[in-house]
Amino acid sequence: MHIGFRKLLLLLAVTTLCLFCLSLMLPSNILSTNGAAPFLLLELLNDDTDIAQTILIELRIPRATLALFVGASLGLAGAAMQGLLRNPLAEPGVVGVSGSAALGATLAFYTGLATIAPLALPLGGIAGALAAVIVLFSMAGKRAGTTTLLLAGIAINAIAGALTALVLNLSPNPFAAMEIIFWQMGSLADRSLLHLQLAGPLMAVGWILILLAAPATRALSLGEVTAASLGTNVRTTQRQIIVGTALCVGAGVAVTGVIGFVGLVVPHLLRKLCANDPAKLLLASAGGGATLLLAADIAVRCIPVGTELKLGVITALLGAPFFLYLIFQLRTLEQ
Amino acid sequence: MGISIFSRLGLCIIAAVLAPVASYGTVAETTEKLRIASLNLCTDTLLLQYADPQQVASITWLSSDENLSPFATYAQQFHRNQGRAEDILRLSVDLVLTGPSTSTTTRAMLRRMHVPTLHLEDATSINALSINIRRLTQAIGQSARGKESLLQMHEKLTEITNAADKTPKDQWPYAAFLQPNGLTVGYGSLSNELLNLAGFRNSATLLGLRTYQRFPLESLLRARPDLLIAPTDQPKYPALAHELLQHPALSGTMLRHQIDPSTLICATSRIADVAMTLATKRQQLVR
Amino acid sequence: MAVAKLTASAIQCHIGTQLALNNISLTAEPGQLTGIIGTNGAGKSTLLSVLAGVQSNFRGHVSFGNKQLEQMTSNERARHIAYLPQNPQVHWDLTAQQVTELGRVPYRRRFNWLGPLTAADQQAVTAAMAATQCEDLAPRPIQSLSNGERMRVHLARVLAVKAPIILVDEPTTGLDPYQQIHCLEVLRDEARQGGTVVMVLHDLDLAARFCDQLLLLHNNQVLSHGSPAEVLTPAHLLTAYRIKPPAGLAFNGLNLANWERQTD
Repeated sequence: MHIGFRKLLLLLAVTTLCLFCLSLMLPSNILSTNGAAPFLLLELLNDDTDIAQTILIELRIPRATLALFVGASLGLAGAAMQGLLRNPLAEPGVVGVSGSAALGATLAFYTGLATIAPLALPLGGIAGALAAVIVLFSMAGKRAGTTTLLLAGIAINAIAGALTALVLNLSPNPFAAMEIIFWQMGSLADRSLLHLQLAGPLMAVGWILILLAAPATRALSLGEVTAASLGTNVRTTQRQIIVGTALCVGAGVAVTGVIGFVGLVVPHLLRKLCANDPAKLLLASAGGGATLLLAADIAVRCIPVGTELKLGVITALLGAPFFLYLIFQLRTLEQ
Repeated sequence: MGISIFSRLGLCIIAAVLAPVASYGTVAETTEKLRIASLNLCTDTLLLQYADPQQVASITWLSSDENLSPFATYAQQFHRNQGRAEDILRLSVDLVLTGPSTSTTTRAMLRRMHVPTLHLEDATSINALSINIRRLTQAIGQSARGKESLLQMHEKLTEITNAADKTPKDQWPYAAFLQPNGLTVGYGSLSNELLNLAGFRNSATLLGLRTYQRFPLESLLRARPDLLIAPTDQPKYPALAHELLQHPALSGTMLRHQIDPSTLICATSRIADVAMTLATKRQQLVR
Repeated sequence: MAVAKLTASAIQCHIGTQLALNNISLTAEPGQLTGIIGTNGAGKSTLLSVLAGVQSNFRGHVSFGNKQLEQMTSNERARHIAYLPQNPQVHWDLTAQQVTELGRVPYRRRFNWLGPLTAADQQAVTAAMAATQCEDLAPRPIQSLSNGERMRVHLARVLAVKAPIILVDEPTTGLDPYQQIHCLEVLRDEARQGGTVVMVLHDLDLAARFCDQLLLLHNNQVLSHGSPAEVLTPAHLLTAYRIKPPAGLAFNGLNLANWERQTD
């Protein structure tokens, strides 16, 4: 099936919009409606108190918007990392960038820094993500193959995970130790407009940086030397992608926890539809990521489980087998 | 004439001698002031309230946290344990108090070491609380204090009941508890009983929520309780659990009653004061 | 195609702490095919990368016509020089058409990367693919092509740049004789149409046959330069490659199959 790129973008945009509206309409948990009208639209129409409005503005809009933003950021960052490292397995969750972002965010939050300066939370996440991307790039950027990349990712994930658990354990607040579940499995429940304000602008800056580097990723398909000979400023491109990825992933993880595999699944599914063009893939992955995360968040709310199902669980259930499948595919290719 | 008078006298003497011994065995009431260690926050709280200072051999580290214990400052002077048997091995204790959070391994260890223990489950009703207080004070040799405390508590509770207006239950105002992580209380909990005693209906039970279930914010907004009972803030160290209580969606029209968490985390005779405060709040609302 | 003479003077280059190029000078005229030969490690690829402007760690001057390399913007340089490094890689499963189109990257407008190619770009790509005879390969993914076909596509990419200077590093590696000759014929045609072509070659027979001038590198320095006949003398070959002609055979062009290794 071959559809043009313009049509693909249009399709993604329309799907995202539909899912966004659906997300605004659905309650936070299908079980909790207890027979009351589940669709907000109806309530808004016969609302005499401000409850429905409050729910819409303070609960539903932040949740849906964050799903859109974070999904787009994860998809974009995944495609960007793959373009930078020239490896289809590079993805913020897999290679430890999300884990490091979680470490930075937990450090900022549980030490009380974020209470004094709320912006410290996403900035901490960004710092953690930046450290990871720089380490990855220096280890696996030049000519290293898949094995080195994945091993580096394992190491970074292990270190970040252990340190995050340590921070939470050392916190004198007795609730902290249990909150590792949020940081590792990700959630959009009860996010507020404040979270959106904190993370949204930073993610947007990350998008701009990555999209500025988009045309250069095409030339980079031929390798760094040839790209340089075609007039690409390889250093600048690399820096744009590194910082842009850190901004996107860091700010997102700081408010939602680690949500993995979005940046792996989306670029892979869309690559053929973009005719393997890494630049177009960046744009398409942003749209695809937003769609995927919105859909996953809706699924989380519609699955009738009593306790809250974490978003990261859904993406991992879909993404991890996919990851395994990709590794097998690559192995047969390399042989 | 069956038994001769001498036999009857003999029987009486024997009965008189045996009687106190028999009561010692069944009630386990003691007049000795025993040394006690407690391995559970709620048993700590009761111990600190009723025992003499020299009786307290050790309490858990949680009791020094003012968010968790009403006797936090008083607790500073005592030996701290981590809730494990090995922490109290070196101390000479006559009795160890355990609770639901004491692990089964610890309790098994105490049994193996033949240390006398008293296990108290968390009180889920005023009646259960009374039983706990009675058992504990009898076991540590402070039954007089226990009796007096219970008496005062029941007096206050009766006062509340008597002062209540006679409106039928379906016209009572609503209240909801919101604790860190959005957890609420439901049927079969002490807090729920207090709510009802004070003349409120519990919004959580309307949705069939049980204790320690999350009260979804949307449902809470829709339920529109007349009173929202939340713990006083800010904890010294942040956690996501507390962020929920600050959610902008809740900053609206609901009347909030801040409650000191240490008064409800572990039930003590002071719950009567909590009930009185709630009853007063209700009067303000209904007026 | 603008006409430009490529001049390099007194090039010194270090790779890490090693001296890779020691005082190398070179002049390549338009219309000519210049070959750089030498043993492995003599500095051939390094020299080519310096000329292409992708190696920044060097001293000396490189200029095209009367413009210095350092004074050009990277985009200007990209339009003046087309460079094909050794063992060219393609990282994504691009088609031959897409790879060739990458040659037009220096001409794409900055913020127009989503749009289609301009007519000029289209025309350059078509001409390049025609010159290298890979039109029928256009829709096929490059990773599914054979070595020879792949090299043709890379050459097409180089030609699509329509640069006056073409620098190619060992284009004949791994190709069979037919493909090797074809590849060099394409480059020679470019030179004859006014381009300046500089190649690094491994095969001395091909160098002798196709190049108008040769530069023989030995020990990071220029051992000899000039026409093939001037450069490929037994004395030079003995010094550079440590091989000698069989005894008793008059030197009459190269036929290396008979040559023996110098062992003392």
